[in-house]
Amino acid sequence: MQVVSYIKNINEIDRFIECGVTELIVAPKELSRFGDLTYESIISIAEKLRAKNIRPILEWDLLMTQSDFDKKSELVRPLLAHFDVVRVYDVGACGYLLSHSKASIQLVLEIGNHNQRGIEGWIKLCGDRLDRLVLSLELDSEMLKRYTSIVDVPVEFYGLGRMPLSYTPRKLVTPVFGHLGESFEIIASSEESPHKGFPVLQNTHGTFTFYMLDHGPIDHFGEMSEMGIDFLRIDLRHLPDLTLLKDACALVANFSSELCDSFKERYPRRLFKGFYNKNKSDSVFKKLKNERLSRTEEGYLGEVIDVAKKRYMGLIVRSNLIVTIGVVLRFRTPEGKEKKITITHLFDSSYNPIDSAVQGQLFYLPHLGGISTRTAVFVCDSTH
Amino acid sequence: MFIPELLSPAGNLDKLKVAINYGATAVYLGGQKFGLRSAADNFTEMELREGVAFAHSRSAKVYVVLNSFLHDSEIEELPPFVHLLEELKVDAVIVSDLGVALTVSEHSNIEIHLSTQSSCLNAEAAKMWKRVGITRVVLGRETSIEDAAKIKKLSGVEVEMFIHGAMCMSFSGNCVLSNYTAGRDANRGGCSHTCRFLYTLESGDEKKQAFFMSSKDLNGLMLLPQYIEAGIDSLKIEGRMKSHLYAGTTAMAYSKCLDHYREHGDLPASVLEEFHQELFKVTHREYTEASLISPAGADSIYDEREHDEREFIAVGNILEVTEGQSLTMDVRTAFHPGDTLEILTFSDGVAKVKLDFVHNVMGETEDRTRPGTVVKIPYVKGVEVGNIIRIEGPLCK
Repeated sequence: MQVVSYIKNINEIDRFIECGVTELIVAPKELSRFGDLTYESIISIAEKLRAKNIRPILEWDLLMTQSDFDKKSELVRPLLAHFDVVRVYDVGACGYLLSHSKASIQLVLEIGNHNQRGIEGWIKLCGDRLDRLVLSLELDSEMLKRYTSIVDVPVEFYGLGRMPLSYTPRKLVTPVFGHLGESFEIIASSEESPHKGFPVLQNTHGTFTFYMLDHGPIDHFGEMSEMGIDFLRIDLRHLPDLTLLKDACALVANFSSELCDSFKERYPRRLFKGFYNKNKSDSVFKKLKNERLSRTEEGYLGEVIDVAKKRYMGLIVRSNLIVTIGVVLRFRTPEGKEKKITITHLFDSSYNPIDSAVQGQLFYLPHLGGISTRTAVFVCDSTH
Repeated sequence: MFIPELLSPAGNLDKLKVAINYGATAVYLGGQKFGLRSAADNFTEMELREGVAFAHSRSAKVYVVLNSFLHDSEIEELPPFVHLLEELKVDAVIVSDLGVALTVSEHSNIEIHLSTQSSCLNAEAAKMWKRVGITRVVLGRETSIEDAAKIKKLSGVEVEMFIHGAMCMSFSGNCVLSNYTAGRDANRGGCSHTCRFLYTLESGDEKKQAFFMSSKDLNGLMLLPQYIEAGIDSLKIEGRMKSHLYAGTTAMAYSKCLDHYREHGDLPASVLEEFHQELFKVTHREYTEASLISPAGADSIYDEREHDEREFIAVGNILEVTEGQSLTMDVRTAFHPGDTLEILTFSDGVAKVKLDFVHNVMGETEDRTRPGTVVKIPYVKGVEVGNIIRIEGPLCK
């Protein structure tokens, strides 16, 4: 497993060489979400990296509207003579490179893309131009293990750095604080949320939020190497210097728990493992709906929409079942209580006797104790 | 003459009928799984059958959302549902994940639309999706009408744009705030709307409070002529979780304007203004045209506590019409005899009814209605089963 990282300053090259880094991401301000390299400098940086046997990767990870895309692709075009590999996130950027260049592509799939079918689809779409897939941050170790074993292109996972949470092209901070510069950060926290707030970065590309803790499942670097992850991305651009880079690279190259503990002690920010152990972020979904109101069960008839206690209740037939005298109905209240009755009398909406009720029709029965509106009604038996 | 499709949300079967009855020419809806609105009622198989039959009998199309970011186990469960959708002859499915698109095309010939969750924003992206069988892209809400026309022309793919409703602040599909702060995967139906909270913002020593991440709601009605002239194939209204009143009013306002354009070849400001006013009568945040003309600016941020800005409140729906005698309605919000209600008819605009009487089913006078009951009110000509009834809210009084 190798380390891929970001270069911020040409003078840092030797430090990366010392750490054994063999490729570096070059992130120009105009093309990369968090890039701060000037457009003019990146060609010389790429040349210098190549001279030192470090592979330069051009990062073009913006999402772009058509107008934006037209401008950005014009900026990218001349750079393609200097970079043979480009990292993209926008599917349009990927398509552009496929049809307008010979560059190899590193495709970022960091959000979504949680299934083999899709991952294989991207590989097929990019063909032999695909240099690497950057896998989703939401994959847990089981999924990572599975995909690394079946995917036949090199894969990368995010090992250490800030955890981006949202991305909008709108400038959200300026309306509150006025102009604080071209790129600046604030902290946002809310009493309405249990979490502890997050850093907010506004720059020329829009506004980004980050998790308060840094993404760093570093205890598992050894495991990741064994499962076949080819590249681990380490992004320390938010730290004051690269002091910890060497230790991070050592952890990747020769993992040991002692090294790991010592690294954690010296790392200036708190780390979290993201979803590496288990992604349970859909386990609460079943609580979002009252299943007692479910209409999926066999025999669903409709619901109670009118109640006068101890007098009558009105039901609307929502399914294509027909209600007649003699039918047994099962009622399930929103609280989950169940009752059954056999229909002996049926009434219309003027409380005149009727023999049956069909879909869309409102009908009445004498009130049954405990039944309230929104009670689901099922036909469970019929003597007919 | 080219007239775009009007695509309304159908959170459940009732709302599907409401949307179509009020003029939607297509609806989008979710089954019990695979969609992004976990908390919506969604459709059972039986309701899907009925909904598709109802829509098709009125020449409206039905699109089923499969726009959750599915995991492997769900991809395995998908084919039987896709077979059912094909058997029911749904007109398209809406997907955001390549794996879902490929699974659908392997198991059916159903048309596939790309969800806005995929943030398709440019022609090159549309062309890539076209390669895997996507026939229409629902463009990200950052796209301008002018850009959308260009995307359509360059890619040869149909384009669908939002014209009304709530908006994500983030690029859709690119926000995982809920995942990390609430343990709920936003891209699998669990968005906790963290962006709508009040935040304390700290810049150095300075602290300020703001709803800085909350977006105003989109309202593109006044730009409808531009949408039509740009050849936008489908105009989408957001809001599967919203009320019957919202579904009916938005479908009515936009469809009436489209009808006017169809009949007269233009849309004068007076017509647009008339129906624009209707859109203030449903639940909404402050409105914005967002990025439809130029990139959304500071005025697109809704820096306020969420509050009710609607001018009207839904009080119920017509359940039965007894010709010349009475209308039977369910009560969702209390009202009194003597109040004046407004009934949104399907084709004759708004009918007003002053409540000379309010009876229960036994024919007894009700002094005050209670939500969760059914009452009879005076008959009004032209009113039909399914019409929505509203009353002026406190904002208007």
